[in-house]
Amino acid sequence: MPILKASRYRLAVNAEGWCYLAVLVLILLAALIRDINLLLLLFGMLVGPLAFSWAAVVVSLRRVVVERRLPDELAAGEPFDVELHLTNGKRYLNSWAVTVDDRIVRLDGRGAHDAVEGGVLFFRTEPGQTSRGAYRVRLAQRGKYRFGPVTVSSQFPLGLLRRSMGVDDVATVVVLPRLGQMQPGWMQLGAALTHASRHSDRRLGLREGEFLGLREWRSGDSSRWIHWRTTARKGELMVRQFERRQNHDLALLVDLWQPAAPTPAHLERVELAVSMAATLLRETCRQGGGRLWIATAGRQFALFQGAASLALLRDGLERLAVVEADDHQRLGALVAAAHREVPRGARCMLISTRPLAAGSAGAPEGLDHRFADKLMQPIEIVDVGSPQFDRYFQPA
Amino acid sequence: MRLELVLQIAIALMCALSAILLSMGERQPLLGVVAAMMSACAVYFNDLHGWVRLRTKGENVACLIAVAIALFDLWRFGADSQLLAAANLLVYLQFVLLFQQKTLRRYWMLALLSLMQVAVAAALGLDLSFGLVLFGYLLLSLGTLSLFFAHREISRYSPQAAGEGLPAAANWRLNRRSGLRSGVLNFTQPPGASAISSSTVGVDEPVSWRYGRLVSLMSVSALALAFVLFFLIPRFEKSPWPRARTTTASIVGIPETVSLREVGRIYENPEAVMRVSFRDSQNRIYELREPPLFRGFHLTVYDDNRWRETTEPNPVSMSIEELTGATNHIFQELEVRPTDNEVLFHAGWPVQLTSQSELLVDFARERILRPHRDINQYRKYALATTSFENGRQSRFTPVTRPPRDAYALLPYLHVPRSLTRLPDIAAEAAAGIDPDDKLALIKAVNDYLVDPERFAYSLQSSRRDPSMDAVEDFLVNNRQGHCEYFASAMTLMLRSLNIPARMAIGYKGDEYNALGYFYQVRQLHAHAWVEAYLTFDELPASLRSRGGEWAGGAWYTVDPSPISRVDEIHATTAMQFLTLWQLADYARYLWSGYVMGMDAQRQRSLYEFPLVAAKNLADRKFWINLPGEAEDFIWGDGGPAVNGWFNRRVALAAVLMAIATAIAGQLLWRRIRGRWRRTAAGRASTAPPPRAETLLFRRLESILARRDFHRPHGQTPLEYATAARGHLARSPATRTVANLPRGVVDSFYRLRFAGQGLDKDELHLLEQSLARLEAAIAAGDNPAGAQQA
Repeated sequence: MPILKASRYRLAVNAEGWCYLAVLVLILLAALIRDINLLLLLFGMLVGPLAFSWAAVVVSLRRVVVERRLPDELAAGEPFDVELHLTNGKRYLNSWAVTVDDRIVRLDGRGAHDAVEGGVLFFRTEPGQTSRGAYRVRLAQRGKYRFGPVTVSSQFPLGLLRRSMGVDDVATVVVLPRLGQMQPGWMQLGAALTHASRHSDRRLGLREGEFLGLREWRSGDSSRWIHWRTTARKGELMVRQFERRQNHDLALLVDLWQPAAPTPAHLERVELAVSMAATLLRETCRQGGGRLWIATAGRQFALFQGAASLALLRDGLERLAVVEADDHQRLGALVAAAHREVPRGARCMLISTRPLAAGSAGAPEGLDHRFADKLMQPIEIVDVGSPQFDRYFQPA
Repeated sequence: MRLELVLQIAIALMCALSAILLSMGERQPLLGVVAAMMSACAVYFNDLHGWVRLRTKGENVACLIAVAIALFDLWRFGADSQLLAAANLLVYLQFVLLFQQKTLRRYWMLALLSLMQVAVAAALGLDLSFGLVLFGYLLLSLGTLSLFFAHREISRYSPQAAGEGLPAAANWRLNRRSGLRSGVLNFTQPPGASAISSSTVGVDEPVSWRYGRLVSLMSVSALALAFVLFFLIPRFEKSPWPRARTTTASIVGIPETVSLREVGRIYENPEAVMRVSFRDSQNRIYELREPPLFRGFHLTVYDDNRWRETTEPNPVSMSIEELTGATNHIFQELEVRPTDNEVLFHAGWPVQLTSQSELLVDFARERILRPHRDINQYRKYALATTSFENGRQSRFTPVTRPPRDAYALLPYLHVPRSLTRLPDIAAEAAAGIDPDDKLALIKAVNDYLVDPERFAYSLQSSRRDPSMDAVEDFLVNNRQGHCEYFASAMTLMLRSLNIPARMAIGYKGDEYNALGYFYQVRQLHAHAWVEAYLTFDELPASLRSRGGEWAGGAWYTVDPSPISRVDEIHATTAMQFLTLWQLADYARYLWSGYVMGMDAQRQRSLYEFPLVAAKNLADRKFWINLPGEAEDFIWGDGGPAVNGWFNRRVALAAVLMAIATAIAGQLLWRRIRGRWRRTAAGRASTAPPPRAETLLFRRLESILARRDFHRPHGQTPLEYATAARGHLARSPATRTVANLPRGVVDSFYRLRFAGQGLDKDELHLLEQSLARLEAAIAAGDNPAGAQQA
C-alpha cells in the first residue's frame, strides 16, 4: 500500500472561530473606546488561546504520514473496514486530534457526483508511533469506486482553526456484485432442465457417455449395450459399461434492459439480475468442472467464458460488477452469440429484466425467429420481475 | 458518555462562574448565587436525570419571560445602566439554555453567552478578587472549550462513543454535495444503502491527565500572552472617548459627624481605603518608626452627644508651595479608591502639591479637597510635607492662618453646660501641674485617659445612661469605649482647662506592607484623636527657635486611645497569616497600579525600564560594582524585616532552596520513571513469545481440558497423548479421534526436539486435526448439536 504524503496545506477559520473572533473584536473596541484596562486584559486572554490553537494545529500536522489499507475483495452490501494508519514522525511532540477523512466516489455515470466520506479521528499519536484506525464502509452498489483523496486535518484544541493537508493519492477498486442464495425452486428448475437435456441427448445419441468397461448382463440392460465378441468368448452375456456424462457446462445470458427513464423498480431488477448471475457464477465455480459462458447485454455487449475456477470467478465477478443496463434491444445479439459460442449439451439460462413468455418451441416471445431457430437446446428464461423469481433466488 | 457528563458539569460551572463575575461587577451577589444554584440544578435535574427539561413551547415562554425581565431591569436601572440590563438578559437566556436538551449548538451558545457576560463584567469589575476569579474563569473556560471540541469531534466520528444516542441511520455521514440528509446515496436502492461509519482512536484521551496537562499549558501560555499584549498595546495619552462610567462601584468613607449615642458593636470593615507610600527628596523609601496619622478633617462643635463642623467651606485652588516655600520634603503618594468623601486624607500638612494632583485647599476648615469625586477607579495623588523628622511624624503642625484674636479661638474652648462633672475630672487629671505649662497639662490629661486602671478600650457598645451626656457617662460611669470617646473626653477636658482643642478624624496607619513599602489603610483603621492649639510662646523652645512658620502657633496632636484595634488584631493573629495578608495587599497594589491603573505614562515608564537596564548592562561601571553590590545584597542587612524574621535575605534563601528542591525533584522523578520504564521494558523483553510447538500443545491441552482430562504434573507429552487416546476411545462420540492427540504430540516432538520444521501443508493438517478433535469433543458434550452437525 502506498504511503500517502501531503501535497498542500490550508488554514481556515471555523464557524466557531468566526464567532470567537467577532467577540474578540468587540471586546477590543470596547476596551479602546471606553479605556477599560480589564477589557484589554480579557482581550489578551482570549487572543492567547487563538494563538495556541494556531501553533497546535501547525504542530499536530507536522511530519505526519498517512497510509490507507483496503481489503483485497470488496462486495456490495457487505461491510468492510478501510484501515488508516497515522504515523507521527516528530521526535518529541504528540499529534493531537488529527482527523483523516477519506472520500469515496463512484466512477460510473450514475454516481459520479455523489460521494461518501469516512474517516478516523486519531485523538493522540505519540511521537515516532503509528496509530491505527479504521472506518467501516458498506457500499450497496457494485461498480468501480475511487478512494481518495485523503484530507488530514486538525482543529485542536478548541476547534477554532482548522489546518488541513490534502493528499492526492487515490485508489480505484471494483466492488463486486451483491451475492445471494439460490432457492429450492432453482434446484427443481435445474432438474427439469437436465431431464429435457437428456431427452435431447438420447435423440442425438449422446446419452451413454464414455466407455468404461465390461460387465455381466443385468435385467433391464439395453440389448444395444451387449458386447457380442466378449459374450461369445466368455459364454455369458456381457454388456458395455459407460461412464455417465455429468454435463456441468452452463451458459448464462443476462439481458440487462431498462427503459430510457428507469424507475427505481427497473433499477432494482437490473441489480437483481446481476446479483443472480454473480451468485450462479460463484456456485458453478465452487463446484468446479464444466465450462461457463456468460454473456451480458446492456449498454455494452460482453461475452466471456472459461473453465469453472476461482480465477474465472474473480474475473467474472469483476466483469459483472461494471455492467450497466440500457434501453437498446440487444437480446437478439445475445442469443446469436450463445448459438455461436455455446456448445450443445450446455445448460442455457437467460436472465432478463423484462417479462419474456416462453413459446411452444421453447423460444422466448419477441425473439427474432431466425435466432430462435438456431438454439439447439431448451433455454430457461428467468424474469427477475416475475412473482416466481423469489422461488429461484433470494438476494442477501 | 463519561466525556459528555464531564462537559455538562464543566459548562455549568463555566456559566455559574461567568454569572458570578457579572454579579461581582454589578455588586449584586444574589445574581451569582442564583446562577450557581441554577447551574447545579440544571446538571442534576436536566442533564443527569432529564426530570426538568424545556421543550419548544416552554423554551419560547421562558425566553419571553427573560426578555420581559430584562425590559423591567432597563426601566428600573434607567438609561445609564443599559449595559447592566443587557448583561442580565444574557444570564436569563443562559438559564433557559441550561434547562434544554444539550446539543452541540447549545453547548456553543452557552459558551458564547458566558463569554459575553464576562466581557460585560470586565467593564464593571475593579478588584483583584475579580481578576483572580477572571483567571480562574480563563482556566475553566479553556478546559471546557477543549472538552467541547473533543466531544464534538468524537460525536462526528464515533457518535456511540460520545453518547449521542443518535438513531442508527444518522451514524452514517454523507458529503454535502449529495444534498441528502438521510445518510444514504440516492443511486442505491434496497436492499441496503451505501454508508460509512467513522471511528475514533483514543476516545478516553480527553478525560486523561495528559489532556488536562496540555490544557493547563495552554492556559498558562494564554495568560502569559495576555499580559504581554496588555502591556504592549499602546494607551492613549488622552482618550478621545469619554471614560466608562459605572454606577455600581462600592465606595468607602467617613461621615463628617460623629455621634456618641449609637449602639451596637463597631463593624471592622477591612475594605481598603487607600495606599500610602513615603519617599524622601531623593526618591528613596522613607521608613517610619511609628504609625502615621492620616488626617482628613476636624470637628469643633460638640452638643447633644454629636460632633460637627459649622464653618462654611471655602475651597481655593492654589499651590501651597507658594505659601510656605518649604523645601525639605517627604513625599507621600496616595492611591485612593472610590470614596464618597471629597476630603483627601493625608499625613502632615502638605507644603507642596504636584502639578498632576489638581487638588483644592480649604484653609478655613484646614482640609485638602479632591475636585473630582471619581467613583469609578483608583486615583493617585502626590503630596509633599515637612511634618516628618527622623522617621517620626511631628506632633506639631504649624497654623497656616493664625487666629486673628482670642475670639477666633472661642469655638475650640466651648464646653456644653450640661457637662457638669467634666471640669472636675479635668481638674483632677491636671492636679499639681502648672496651669501655664500647656504641654504638661495636655500630657497629664492624656496620661489620665490612657491609664488602663481607669479606662479601657473597647469596640463593644456599653449601656450608657440616657440622662447623662455620653462623654460624661464615659468619664464617670462606664469607663470603656472606642477612640471617639477617648478623643471626645480629652478634647472637652482640655477645653475645660482653657486649652483650645478639637477632634481630628482620619485613619491610623497601623498596617505597613514591607513587601510593597506602603501603608495599607482600611476602613477599620478609621481613628479619632485630639489637636490642641498652642501659641508660639507655648511651643517647645526648639520650635520657637525656628520662627517663621511657627510664629502663629501650632496644633499639637495627641492620641489618647490606649491601644489601637489593629494592634489587637496583631496580637491575636498568627504571624504567618499576617505575611499572607501583606502578600495579598501587595498583589492588590500591583493589580491596581499595573493593571487597573495602566495608562500611557506608566506604560512609558515600563518601556523605559528595559532600556535603562540595557544601558546599565552596557556600562562598564555596572560590572565593576556588581560583585560589591551582590555581596552587599547577600551579606548586607537583608532589607526591612516582615514580622521580625522574613527579610530579603531569607527570601533569597527561600527562592534558592525552592529552585534546588525543584531541580532535585525533577531529577529524582526522571530517575524513578526511567528505572520503572526499564523494568517494565525488561519484563516485557524477558518473556519471549511462546513458540509454535508450545502453542500447539497448549491448544491440545485446552481442548482435552474441556473433557476434564488434565495433564498431571510430571507426565510427559507422549504419556499424556497415550492416556488421552484411552480416555477418548471410551466414548463413541470421540472414538474416531482418539489417535489425534498422538499425532499432535509427534509433531510437537519433531518441532521441539528434532528441530524439524513443519511445512505449510503439515501445519494445515495439524490445524484440521485439532479442529476435528475440538468438534468431536463439543459434539460429545452436546449430542443434539452433534446430530445437527
